[in-house]
Amino acid sequence: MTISVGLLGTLVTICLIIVAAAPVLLLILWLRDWKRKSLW
Amino acid sequence: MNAVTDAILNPAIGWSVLAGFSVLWVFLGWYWGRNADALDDYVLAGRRVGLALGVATAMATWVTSNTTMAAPQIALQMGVWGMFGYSLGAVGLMMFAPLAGRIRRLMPGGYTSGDFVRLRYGKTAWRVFLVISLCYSLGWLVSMGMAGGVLINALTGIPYHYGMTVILAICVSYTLLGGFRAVIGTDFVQAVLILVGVVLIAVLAIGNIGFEAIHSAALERRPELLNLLMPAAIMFLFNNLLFGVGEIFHSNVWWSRAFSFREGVGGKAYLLAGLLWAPIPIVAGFIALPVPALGLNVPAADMVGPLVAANILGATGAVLVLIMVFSALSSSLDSLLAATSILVVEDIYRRHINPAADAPTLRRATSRVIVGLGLLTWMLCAPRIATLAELLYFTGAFVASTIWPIAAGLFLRRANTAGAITGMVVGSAAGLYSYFAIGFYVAALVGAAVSMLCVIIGIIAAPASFEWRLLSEPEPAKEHAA
Amino acid sequence: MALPIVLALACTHGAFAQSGDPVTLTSDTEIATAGYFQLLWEAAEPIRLVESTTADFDDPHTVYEGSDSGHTVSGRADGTLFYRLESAATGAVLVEPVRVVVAHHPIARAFTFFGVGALVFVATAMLILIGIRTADDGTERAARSTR
Repeated sequence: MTISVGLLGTLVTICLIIVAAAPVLLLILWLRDWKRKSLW
Repeated sequence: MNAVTDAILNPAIGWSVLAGFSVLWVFLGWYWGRNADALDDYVLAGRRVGLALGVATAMATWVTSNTTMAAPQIALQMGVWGMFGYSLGAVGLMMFAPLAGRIRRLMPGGYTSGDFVRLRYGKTAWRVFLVISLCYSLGWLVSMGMAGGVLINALTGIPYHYGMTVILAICVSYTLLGGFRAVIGTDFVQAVLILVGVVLIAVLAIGNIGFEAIHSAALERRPELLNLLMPAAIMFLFNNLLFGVGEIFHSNVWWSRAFSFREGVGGKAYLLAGLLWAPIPIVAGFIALPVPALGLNVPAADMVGPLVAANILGATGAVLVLIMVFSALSSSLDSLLAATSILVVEDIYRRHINPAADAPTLRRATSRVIVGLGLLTWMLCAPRIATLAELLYFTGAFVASTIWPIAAGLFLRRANTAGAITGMVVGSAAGLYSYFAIGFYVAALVGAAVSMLCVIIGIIAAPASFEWRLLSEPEPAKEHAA
Repeated sequence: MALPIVLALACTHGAFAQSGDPVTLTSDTEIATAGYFQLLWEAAEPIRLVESTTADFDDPHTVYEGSDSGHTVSGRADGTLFYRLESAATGAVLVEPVRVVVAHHPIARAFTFFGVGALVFVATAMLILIGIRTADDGTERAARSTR
C-alpha cells in the first residue's frame, strides 16, 4: 500500500508550517513572560 | 554520483562558525549564572522557571543530534512509517506533562528521579534504577560527543578529535559557569536556531526538487520506503514511542526540569514542547527521501542528512546543518551534564558518601562532577569505539522497563517494591533478548510490556499502601544568613 | 537512539587500499528483514558496483560508480540480490559476488508487535489519566490526622 504523493506532500507541508510557526510562538511566550517578570 | 571523501565546507568557515557560537554560549552562560551561588539556583535555576523558557528547554533538549541525523537515517532505512514513527517520540514529552505537575507537588524539595525511587521503593530498587539511569546518561553523553566529532569532520574535514573536544569543552564551560540557568537560557536560543535551520533546509530541498520527483524516484528505486505496510517499520512505531516514554519518564534530565519549573508551568510546558517537537523528525526525516531522485550515494545510512543538505544547498546547506546540529548537540549536552551531575551528587555523593553535606558543599561538588563527567565522556569518545554508540540502542530495553515502576509509583499507592524491581530487571532482560533475536526496533516495546506485567502482578498479589507524605524530605542545610 | 558513527567515518574517510591488497566486498547482513543493508568494499581504484537478481548477472544494473567505499541499499522488496565490483576503468570483475536475501518480517508478526505496543501504550495512558483524577497527594490524610 504505497503512500500517494499528495498525502505525503500534504503531511510534510503541514509539519513544515508548524515548525516554521514554532519560533514565533516561542518568542511571543517569551515576551509575555518578560512583561510579567515571570521568565525565571 | 558523488564522492564523499571531500569535505564540503572550508575548515576556516567551520572553525569560525564554531568559535562564534561557542563565544556566545559561554558569554550567556556567564551572564545568566552570575548570581547562581545558592545550591537551588545553581542546580535548579531557583525552581521558578516560566512557561516560555520551560517550553523551549524541553523542546530543545529533546532535539538531539539524533533527531536531526537519525531521523533521516530511519527514513532512509524504514521509509515513511520510520519518519512518522520517529515523531512519536513526542508522546513521551506529552505523557510526562501530568507527571511533571505531580512530581513537583509530591516532592517540593526534591532534586532527582533517584530521590523518588529511593523514597518510594527503598534502597535496592533505587540502586537498580541508578545503574540503569547512569548507563543511559553516559551512553547518551558519549553518543552526543561522538556525533559532534563526526559531523564536524564530515562537513569541514576538521579532525574528529578536535571537533569532539571543542564541543565538549564549550558545553562543560558554560554549564559550569552558569549552572542550570545557563542551560535553560541557552536552550531558548538553540531552540530557535534548530527550528529555523530545519525549516530552511527542508524548504530549499523541496523547492529544488519537488514532491513529484522525490516520490516517483523513490517508488522506482526504493519502493518499500513508501509502503505503508512495511513490516519492520510497523514494528518500529510503538517501539519508538515506548523508548521515548521510557527515556523521559526515568531520566533526571526531565525530572530536574520538573523540579525547576514554576508551580503550574510544568504540565503546559511539556505538552506544548511535545506538540512543537513532533513535526521536526518528519521534516528532518523527509530530507532523506530525495536520495534516489538525486542519484546520491550514501555510504552509511547515518550520513544521509548532512549529505543531502550539502548536495542540494552546497556550502550554504553545510553551514546551516552545522549551526543547527551544533545547537541540537549543545542543548542536549548541557542538559545531560547538568542533570547527570545533580544525580551523581545527590544520589551517590550525598546519599552514599557524605550524608551531612550542606548546600554549599553540594554546590561545590556539583561543579567538580560536571568537569569530571566532561572528562569521562571525552575519554570514552576518544577511541571511537562503535559499541559505545550502539549502547544507546541497548538502553531501549532498560529504560522502557522503568516506565511502569515510575508511573505506577507516582499514582498508585498499591504499587509495591517487588513489582518495581522485577519489572526493571526482568523487563530489561526480555528486551535485550528480543534486541538480538528480532531487531533493535522491538527491544523497548518488549522491555516495557514485560515490566508492565511484573508491576501489575505485584499490585494484584501483594498490594502496598504507600503514604505519599513520605516523599517530602527536608532539604540540605542552607547556608547561614550573613 | 544512536548511530553506528564509526562505520560512517570509516567509509567516508577511509584511505584507498594499496594496489596489491585483495579487493573485498561485504554486506553487513545476509538476510535483510527490513529491506535495508550496507555494502562495504576496499579497492585500490574507482569501481562500479553492479546489482543483479541472478548469480550469473543476466540483468546487470549499475548501482554506483566512483571512489566511495560503501553503499546503503534500502526500501527493497522481498527477493534475492547479487552484487559485484567491477573496475570503473576496465570493466574487469574484481571480486566474488555477494548475495543478500531480502525477506521482510511476516506482516502478521509486525501487527502482533504493533498490537502489544498499542496495548502497553493505552494501559500507561489510562494509568496516568485515572491517576490524575483519583490520586491524592497525602496532604488530606495528614490534615485529617491532626484534627
